[in-house]
Amino acid sequence: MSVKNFETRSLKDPDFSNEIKAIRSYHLSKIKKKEVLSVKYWIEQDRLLKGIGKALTIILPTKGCSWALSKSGGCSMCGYINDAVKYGAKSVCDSEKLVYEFEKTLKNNLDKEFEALKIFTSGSFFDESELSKEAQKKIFETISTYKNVSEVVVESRPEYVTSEKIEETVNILNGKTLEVGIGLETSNDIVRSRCINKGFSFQDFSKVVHEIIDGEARVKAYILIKPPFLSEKEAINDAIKSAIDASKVGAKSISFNPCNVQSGTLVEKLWKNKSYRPPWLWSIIEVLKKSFNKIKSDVDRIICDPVAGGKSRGSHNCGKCDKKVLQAIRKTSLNQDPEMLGAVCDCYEVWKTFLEYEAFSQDPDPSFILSL
Amino acid sequence: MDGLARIGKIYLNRNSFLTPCIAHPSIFENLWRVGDDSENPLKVLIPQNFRSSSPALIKTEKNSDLLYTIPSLNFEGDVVNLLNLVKNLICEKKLFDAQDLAFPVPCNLEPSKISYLLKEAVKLGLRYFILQRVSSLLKNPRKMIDIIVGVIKNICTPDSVLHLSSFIPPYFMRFLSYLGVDIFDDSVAYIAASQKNYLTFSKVLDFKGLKELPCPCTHCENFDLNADFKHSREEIFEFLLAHNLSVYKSEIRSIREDIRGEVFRESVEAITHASPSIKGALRILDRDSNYSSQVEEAIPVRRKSVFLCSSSDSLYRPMVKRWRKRIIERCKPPKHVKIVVILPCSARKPYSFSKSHKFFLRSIKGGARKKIKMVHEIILTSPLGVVPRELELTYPASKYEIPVTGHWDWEEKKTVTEVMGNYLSNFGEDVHFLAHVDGVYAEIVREASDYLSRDVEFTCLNGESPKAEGSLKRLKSAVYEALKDRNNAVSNPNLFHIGRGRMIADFQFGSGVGNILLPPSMRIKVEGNYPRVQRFFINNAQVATLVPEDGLLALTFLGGEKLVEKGFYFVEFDGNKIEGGTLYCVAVSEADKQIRPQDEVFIVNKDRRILAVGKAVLSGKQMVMAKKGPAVRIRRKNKQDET
Repeated sequence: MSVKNFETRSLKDPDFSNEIKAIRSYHLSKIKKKEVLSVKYWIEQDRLLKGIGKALTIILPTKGCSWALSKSGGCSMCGYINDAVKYGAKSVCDSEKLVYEFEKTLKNNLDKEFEALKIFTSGSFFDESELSKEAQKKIFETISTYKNVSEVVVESRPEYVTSEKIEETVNILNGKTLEVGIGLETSNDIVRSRCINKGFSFQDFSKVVHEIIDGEARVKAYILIKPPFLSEKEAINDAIKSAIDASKVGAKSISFNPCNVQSGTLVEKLWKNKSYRPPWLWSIIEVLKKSFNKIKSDVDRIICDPVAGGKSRGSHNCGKCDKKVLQAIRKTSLNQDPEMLGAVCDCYEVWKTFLEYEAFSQDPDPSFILSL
Repeated sequence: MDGLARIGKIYLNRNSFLTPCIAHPSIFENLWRVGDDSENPLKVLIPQNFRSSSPALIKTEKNSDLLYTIPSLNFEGDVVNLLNLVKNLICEKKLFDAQDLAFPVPCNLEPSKISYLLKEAVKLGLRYFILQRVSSLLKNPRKMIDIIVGVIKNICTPDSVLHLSSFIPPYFMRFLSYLGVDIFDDSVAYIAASQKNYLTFSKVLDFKGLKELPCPCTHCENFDLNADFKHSREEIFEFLLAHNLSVYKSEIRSIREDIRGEVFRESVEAITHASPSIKGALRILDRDSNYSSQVEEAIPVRRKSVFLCSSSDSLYRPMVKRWRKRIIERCKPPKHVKIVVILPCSARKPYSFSKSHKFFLRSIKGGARKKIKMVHEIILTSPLGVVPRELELTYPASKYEIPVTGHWDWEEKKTVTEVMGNYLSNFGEDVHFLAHVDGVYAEIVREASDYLSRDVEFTCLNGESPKAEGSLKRLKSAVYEALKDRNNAVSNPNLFHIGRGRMIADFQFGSGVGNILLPPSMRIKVEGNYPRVQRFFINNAQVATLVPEDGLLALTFLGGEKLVEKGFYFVEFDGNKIEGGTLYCVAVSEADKQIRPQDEVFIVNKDRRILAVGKAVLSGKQMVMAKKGPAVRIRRKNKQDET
């Protein structure tokens, strides 16, 4: 098994790790995980390299993210491990079975139109403890026979990505574009280590990006909007700067992920404690506007699809305008046109004022204050 | 002072300002300007986040105009790491004195963690605390009291400054001041203006729905509501902001003025109607014995103002509860009493100068004649419960006002019944109880008599009022009948006045002090006519003076010696000679825990020799805990002791 050993010792924060681990373990002990999980998939409109098109997303039920399962506790905002199959339920995690399920899903969707294929695990595709080397290879070989697919996206933490693996995959895919999504979250090492507990540095990320580009594949950088412990204003600036930094290193797709409150995470604890509020949709609009303005010519696409948008656990505004603003964000992603970001609501002024005064009050959410 | 509220002047570095006050956010400088009316406000830097900022962000340069702020916490896991950072800054690197630093307290953490964090911070000498995320407590009254009073006020020394940085609407300021918060952030004025909210002292109004502007401030007077459509969004924001800020400014001035005018508690009771949370929080504070005793310690024993009891919360206010407690625990009736006459209260105070009580007194005197000293009168009243005639001049019995309509609620009746039952249980089987009351008063007496299993003779019969001629005649003959077979063992003509002095002493200083100050075995002389100043002498040496304004005693050094011998009401001074008219907390090494603000206290040296007499500013416990601020205002120094 090839796993890179990054020099992240200095970024480690044992107290932080322990806290995250404790919250996660407690939550995992409370929930009942399924022994058998079926493959989830859906087809939706998406921004592809060619323009607007359809993408088939397939989620493979592996054992889940090794980082989240390790004693590090995983990332402070991520609860995807809750959806992974029960650890040790070999019958399901078995790579051969996963390949079989994958092929079956693909076959079932043959009659449908799609040009892009996204294969996600709740962890890293290239992590061989989730999916064996042979299984990875088999999946790519299957895809290479599907003529209408031009774009393949997988996700992985950087430590599982090697030049050889990229080269080999690109060869197998034989002309189809490979894009590797990496959760950079932020280009700020302090925020990534002390607020997210991500476990790798910006330098680690950059190195892998170069390797992927050298192997003639592409990089999609996931940027987290509003990591915990940042104010709304700091979060906006952090996301914009991170997008610029990622594009400079060579990421050609920027995907903004507004932080949402997932179960069994530190972020959930902070949220329940009134120490955290997911980002306002206005903040996302601000981040998108500035990013389009600054890096549109350097990247192929800037996309954002807020998870749990409009809900209290997801990115939201006042409640009245959420649908409208979410639509503007999705339309902008599809069309890559920042002109579509224009939306209005009275709460825009509140958000603007709040950005300036949050640092004083340290209250993450002013909405209920005047209703007491 | 009232409740935990205090008015004061804070001296920090080169700045000074009055509190309670506003800390105004300055977004371009990233700091607060503290002191709303100060020309030279204190600047306090806003905190960074402990996680997202590197600790090196704390500047190492010292600037005497600025208070630097320790990074703020969001979760329990960082408590120890943060404390290590602070220790490092103060103790190891010696970059800061503790007094140059403001310390953020995240009020949304577990109470046990906040408590640990604060205890360590106090140990390190920190005195300026920024209370964060208090808004998360405002909907939960119990949590609000648990954290602010149970944890923060309990741990912080009395000379600590509490600066509340959360978003809070203006009507929470008064109540939070009552809990001891000194400084308030007015950021909500901006948020409210951006939300088109028009703030008032008790409400948040939707500007768009207003037909009139309730406030006559210059901003409102100059704004034409009917021409609303002519104003741009920015103009409306600017107008609302100016008005909203003026509400904060006006409210904080009014808070200071009400504390100065000693009517703060009454004003807090009034604002409880603005929010059920405030009402709930006041109830918990007043009625939960842990908190009420903590608050009682800080409540003065006398005020200049009239004592208004207009709400049901008045029944539980600390001064009222203290009265009832002292009546039962401290005031023991004289042994020679053979009749207790229970009377209704009167609107005019002191009672004995009201028309009705003049009638009652005439009848009682007429019935008792020379045996009048064997009669003990008590007055039934809400919310105090029982006022013995001897204490009718004592604050607040002499100065309380209640709505008198004959409507009593269940809790009032129950409370008064309990107090009377407890008070009467001190009297022996041979004491006859006479009740000259009707209506609800009579119901209360009957219930208390059932509770005590003692007979009470009623003198208002057939629905006649106590003032009716028939009732008064029955009172007179009942007193006569009850005393006719008793031997009059009392001869001292001054005994009633001496008895009053003793009971006030018991009430003021503790059970038994009356007999220590004015011992029955000694020849005691009383000068002066009640209710004017009365002086008490033993062998021609003055011991005490009854001060009619508040019905409490002022003692001479002779009287003081007797108190201090028992370890009562002393404040131990760290030296032998006091300069000036004030004793400061820094020089107090020990003090009687019974001392309350405004109590008569004696300043003694290590050998317990009296150096001076004065009035306490703080409670005994507080003056020992605090390192700054006045402890005792001195009235007279003991000249003999100056060497």
